[in-house]
Amino acid sequence: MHSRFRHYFSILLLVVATHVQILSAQSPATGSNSTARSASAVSSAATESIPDQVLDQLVKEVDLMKKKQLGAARQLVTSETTYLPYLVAPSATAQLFNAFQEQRLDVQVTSSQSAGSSTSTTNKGSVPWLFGAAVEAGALTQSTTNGQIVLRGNVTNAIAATKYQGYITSFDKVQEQNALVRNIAATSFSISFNPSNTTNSSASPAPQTNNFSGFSIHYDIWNHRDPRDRRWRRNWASTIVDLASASNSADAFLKAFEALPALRGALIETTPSFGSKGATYVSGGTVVGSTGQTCTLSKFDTVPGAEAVVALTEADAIGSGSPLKITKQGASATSAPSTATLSNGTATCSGTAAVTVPLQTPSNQWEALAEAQFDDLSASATDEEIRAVLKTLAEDLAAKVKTSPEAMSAAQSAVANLIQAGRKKTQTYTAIMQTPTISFEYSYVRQSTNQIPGSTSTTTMSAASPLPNLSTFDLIFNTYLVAGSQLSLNGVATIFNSLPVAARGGSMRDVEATAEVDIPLPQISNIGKPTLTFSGLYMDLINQPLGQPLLVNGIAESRTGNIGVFQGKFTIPLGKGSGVNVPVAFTYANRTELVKESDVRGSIGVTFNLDSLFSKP
Amino acid sequence: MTAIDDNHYATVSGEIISVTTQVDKQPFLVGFSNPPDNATWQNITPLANGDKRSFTMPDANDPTQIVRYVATYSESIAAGDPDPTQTYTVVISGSAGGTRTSYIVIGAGSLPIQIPYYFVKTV
Repeated sequence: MHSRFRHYFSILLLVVATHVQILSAQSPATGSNSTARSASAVSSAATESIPDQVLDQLVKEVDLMKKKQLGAARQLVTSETTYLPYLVAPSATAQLFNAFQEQRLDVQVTSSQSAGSSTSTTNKGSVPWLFGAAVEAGALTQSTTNGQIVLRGNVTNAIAATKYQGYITSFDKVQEQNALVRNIAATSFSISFNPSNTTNSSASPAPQTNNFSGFSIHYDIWNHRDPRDRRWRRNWASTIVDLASASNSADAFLKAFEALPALRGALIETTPSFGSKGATYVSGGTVVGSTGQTCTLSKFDTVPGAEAVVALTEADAIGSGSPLKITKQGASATSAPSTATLSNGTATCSGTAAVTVPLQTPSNQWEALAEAQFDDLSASATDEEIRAVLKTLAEDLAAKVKTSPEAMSAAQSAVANLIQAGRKKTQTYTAIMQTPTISFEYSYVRQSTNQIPGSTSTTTMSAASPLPNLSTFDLIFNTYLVAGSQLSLNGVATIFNSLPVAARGGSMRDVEATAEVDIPLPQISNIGKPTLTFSGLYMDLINQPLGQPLLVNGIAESRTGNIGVFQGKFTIPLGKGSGVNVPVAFTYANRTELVKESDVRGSIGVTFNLDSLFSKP
Repeated sequence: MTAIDDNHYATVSGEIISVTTQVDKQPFLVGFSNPPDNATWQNITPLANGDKRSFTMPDANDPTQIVRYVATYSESIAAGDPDPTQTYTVVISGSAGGTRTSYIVIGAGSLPIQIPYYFVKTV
């Protein structure tokens, strides 16, 4: 048995590296500051404590929020509710992590196997909603291994996305259209190119001079696997009910936290960015001045040394509820002050004013700390610096609420509600993935002389006439199997679009039956869930694969017969949820189309779903 | 209504506060807590990619000074999505004027984010 093991790393690793660089520039989760932490997180994730994992995830969230808007990050960092998973028992938080990790498997970005260069034996039912791209080298049944770039897209959805300026709005607008438009929207296309068509420069006839290698049209006959599909809205509504319960529990936590009493001798509350919790003017005193001028306040009745200023809200008047800006907090308060002395500032002021000035409670202390810590972070803060702030705030909050059974109980309830919501979300995804899909794909394949093996010193291979192009008809069935795995079955027929002069037999080139099982593997921290795939292909080459006999040293050789292929494939996501995957495959074939010898090969590729470019709000 | 920051607002008595929340990728997974008494959610209207709801700040005679609700945002990003983030856009506006737009961005596989929103009655 002649066995060959082929390597494509020199070319494809360059392609992979290029894509990785693009991804690094685009991925919101991999900012320049996160590199060091991310690298260490990968190696240490297995041994990290649950609270550390919570902090790691919060750092990523802060990074994402900062990139969108600084205020978005502020509300995340300075909200007590952000830290609830940090406060509860690690076992509960571990359940929470498990409840919110799910993925779907069925999106196919690569071209069909019949297109020549795919590393997959079997087509899957779903394709990207807008655009996708793939670079692969494999050509499972061919005798050479042409690299291929595949672009997939959907014309109707692309037009809708452009017109309605929004990913989800576009989807809904398309669904609102008449049956004709919806059916067109169920149709997607792909165009494929050979990045290099000069692999076999000695092939006969001469190699083609452009890179276009084919196109395909994919139609979803039955497919409800998009989570936006209307039939799933009731399931999502059930998840929302649990999220609302989690919100109510979080609100109960805040109430319990705010109810913790002020410590004896506390300072009076400074005026945080939110004036409601700070000091306010109620009434009293005499003021003369214009809007915006200020009066000073001192001699707070129970807090020696405290001072503040208050702004006139209109000419000669201060509106009730106007916030006091505390300039000196005073000390040794025994109760909250209710009066203060008005005196001149930039306006003329006198008399005694009634005021509402809370003392610092644990809740207010924490909020003031959170505001100060966030304000101290520079815009270019590293992930380590952000993590340090988050840890300080989480631990300070934990120390403050540990004495409150009510607060801890509410925190646990909130996390329990979130776990329930996560489980319902997972159930919905499972229900989505358990629906079968049926689709049809037509592929036009431009045959290339590159697929004729190169000549050696003793053997020359050639074809007498230009190679005819092919049409492939593929009926695709996809369904759930067991334990999260998916089964895909294909029935394929391929015909010659024309017959060369030397052709013998009819237009039918081959028929195929393929089967593939995708098995999701356990999560790898910071990477994602790899997938293990086993597949098989049986092809009956009814006619010569090139539409004519292959000429070996000028002697015509028949290449009809049966081909059996078995493949094991390991697909690794390049970064958790990045949308970029690297399939690494090992394939055994009893023969190839042009060489009647067994063939063992390895292949590697990269797939990249480009929908993201159009899913930005 | 005057925005102090993304989740703190100064309002006037009896002001109607409208909250519109929309997501760039469905499903829309946001759960709202019940606001305190006298400020229950009103006019909850589903939108194509979110919902719109409102509440009325307590009147001047009501002792309630602060209305707060908590919103819990969850991600629902398919694996294979090349942009593994989901963005919720929150627009809060008051009947007496003032509008603020804020954003919640959630990464794939992230835990839900819970944000409290505070509305203080200043007059």
